[in-house]
Amino acid sequence: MGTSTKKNMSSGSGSSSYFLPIPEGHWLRRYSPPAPDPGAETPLEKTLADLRFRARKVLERGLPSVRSEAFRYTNLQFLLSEEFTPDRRQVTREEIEEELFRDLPVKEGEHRLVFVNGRFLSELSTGFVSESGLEILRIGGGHGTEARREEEGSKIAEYIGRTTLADFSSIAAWNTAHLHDGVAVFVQRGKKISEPIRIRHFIRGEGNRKIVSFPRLLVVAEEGAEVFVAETYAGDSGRTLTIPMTELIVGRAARVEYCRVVREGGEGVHLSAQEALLEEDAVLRSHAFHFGGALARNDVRAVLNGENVEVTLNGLSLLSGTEHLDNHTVLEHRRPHGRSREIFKSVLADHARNVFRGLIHVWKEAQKTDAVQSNRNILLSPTARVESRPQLEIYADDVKCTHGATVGRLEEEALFYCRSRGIPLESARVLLTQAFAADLVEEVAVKEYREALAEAVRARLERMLGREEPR
Amino acid sequence: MILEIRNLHAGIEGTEILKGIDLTVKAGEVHAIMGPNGSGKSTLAGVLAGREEYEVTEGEVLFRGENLLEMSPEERAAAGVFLAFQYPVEIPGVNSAYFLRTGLNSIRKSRGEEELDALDFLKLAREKLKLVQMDEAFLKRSVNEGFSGGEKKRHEIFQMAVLDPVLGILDETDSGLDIDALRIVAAGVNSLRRADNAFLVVTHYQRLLNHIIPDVVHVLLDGRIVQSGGKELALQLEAEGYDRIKQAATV
Ligand SMILES: Nc1ncnc2c1ncn2[C@@H]1O[C@H](COP(=O)(O)OP(=O)(O)OP(=O)(O)O)[C@@H](O)[C@H]1O
Ligand SMILES: [Mg+2]
Repeated sequence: MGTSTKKNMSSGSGSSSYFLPIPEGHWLRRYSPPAPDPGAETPLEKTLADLRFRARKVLERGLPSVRSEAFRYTNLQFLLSEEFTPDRRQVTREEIEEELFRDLPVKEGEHRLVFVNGRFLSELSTGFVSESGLEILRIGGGHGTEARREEEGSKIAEYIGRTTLADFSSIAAWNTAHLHDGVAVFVQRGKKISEPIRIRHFIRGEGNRKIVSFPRLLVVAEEGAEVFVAETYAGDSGRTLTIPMTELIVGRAARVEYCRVVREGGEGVHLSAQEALLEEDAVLRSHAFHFGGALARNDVRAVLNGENVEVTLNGLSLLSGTEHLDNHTVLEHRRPHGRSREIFKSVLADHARNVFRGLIHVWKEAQKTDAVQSNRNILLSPTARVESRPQLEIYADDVKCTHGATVGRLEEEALFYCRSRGIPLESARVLLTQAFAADLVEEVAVKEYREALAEAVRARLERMLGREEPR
Repeated sequence: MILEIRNLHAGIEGTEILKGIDLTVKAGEVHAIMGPNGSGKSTLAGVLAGREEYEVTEGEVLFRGENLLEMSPEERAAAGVFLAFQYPVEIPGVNSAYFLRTGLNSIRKSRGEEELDALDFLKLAREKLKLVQMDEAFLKRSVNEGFSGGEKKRHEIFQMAVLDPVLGILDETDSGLDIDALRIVAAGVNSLRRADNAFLVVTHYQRLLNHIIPDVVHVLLDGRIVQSGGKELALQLEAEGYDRIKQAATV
């Protein structure tokens, strides 16, 4: 990973050293469209222009340095010295088809939208949908008649950016400042969509050029609606940077299951924001699988904005080499009777590093909150490192909040038990780490995806453990 | 000859636990090992199965004429050594059938035999479950997780039946069993007895030996076998305790 040496930080006085200035003309501030409001006319154009304007203000503040608490363990300074540009090429189906479905196979009947370096690839997609009940729309420009486009645009305008609430996180701001394309999914009141919706990103460098993309996903489940959405990011060779943002808006008594699988390339950087906003009686089940990438940071937040909301926030990461992952999660219990279950697990080999920060924030009126957080880590090598920072901020008095973190090695006694039954040491290690990961895979509702994920976990663990020195 | 232990010394972090064990087990035999708490019975069983925390400082162990101490635990399993644990290990997330099939197939592979597919394995497993009167549902559960004490012990014998070892080492398989379970486990072990295999049974109680009748009973005391005899030795110990043997050993 590149670290920059030349800094133009004036001998930092006060709070300015928490941010490193991003010079004008720097690629992070080279916008398209350049002006936030290029004669916005439609409601969607107006909304996007407004969002971009606010987000770009955040960028003017600068890039958070390791002196800022939120980025203490993840140094993003290389973004200032390395030059990333969006991919302007149109990739063809033939170039990527084989790679494309490696992590999750095609499930019959799924809705599938394929993007390459942030650009939509219609040939491999099942296409956008606008039926009553389910709409899968393109944020960057509709299709069909002018009138229809206007109608779809208004709908997107109504919801996009809503989860941001008063404040942008840095990553959300970077995505939003560059927002011009993406996918919006709307599930109408009471509709239960049985086939999964799958958004498939393929990311790869172009020779010496370093590629950046800013994917965006908006999911809106109206009252009583149900939907399963999976997003996968598969990286390839070359230095790439992905800055995605996902918004999940879960209406009254609606249920959203969201599964994201990230396997960036060896030099891939992944900086994501995932924001969820839930109303009364809503259910969110979120599963994040991280299978690689040079550096990743995920800002995950769920806001329990109605009574009796239920949130599951799961994460599994398998890291090796010098991979670095920083998960920053926030569960914001605003209303009474909320339940949250957060389980983040990691397996680390070699010199990998995992940072977990989990904030449970219980507002004063969120009585009877029931929150459980757990962070468990297995180190396969003495040089792997874990930072675990649970954080509770509780302002209500009648709540049940528990958290726990463990960092350990594979149990010797369990290894010996396996070996005494004839299972060779290396297989025993794979078996036990696989077992450690199994419950998070089991929680994914779609059988085909579950099986594919179990296989991906096994294959990756075999590679991670195969490299290890036998004792 | 199945097992020949000669002048075995072993310990942990500089403390000697086994202080010169000699023991010979022939094909077709059952040997019982008795002795007070802490005398080294589990250590002996562990050294034979390949527990790595113990260091062997002197002596040798031959298993069917081969140097057992040079083999890894999995190689010993493949060669036909099986240890029924005093404290079976729980492995959440791995179901019993998958666990045992992986073990069995690793062993079969190392012997150049064909691996069993899930269906053939299930057939074999069902047959062996009957031996210990366990329900098929256990196959789908995580290894030992939430099993009662008695179920864990029966599960050990079930695994032994599936792997069909040449030398079965039972470390206090009888403790924690109710009277019926004791009988079931004993009957299971007896049904596995053949002219070409052998068992080493570690126990505190004579009652197991009413069911699994030993050819030889050894008394282990402070890391040494201080007395060996026929099955009546167990009866004598049950009646008298270890005091007399302890006194005899110290003079
Ligand atoms: N891993 C170990 N670390 C430290 N001491 C050990 C270890 N294993 C055994 N010992 C010690 O060696 C001695 C013999 O232990 P062992 O477990 O072999 O006894 P045992 O005869 O099986 O006893 P029991 O009848 O209580 O099962 C004991 O004093 C025990 O504390
Ligand atoms: Mg013992």
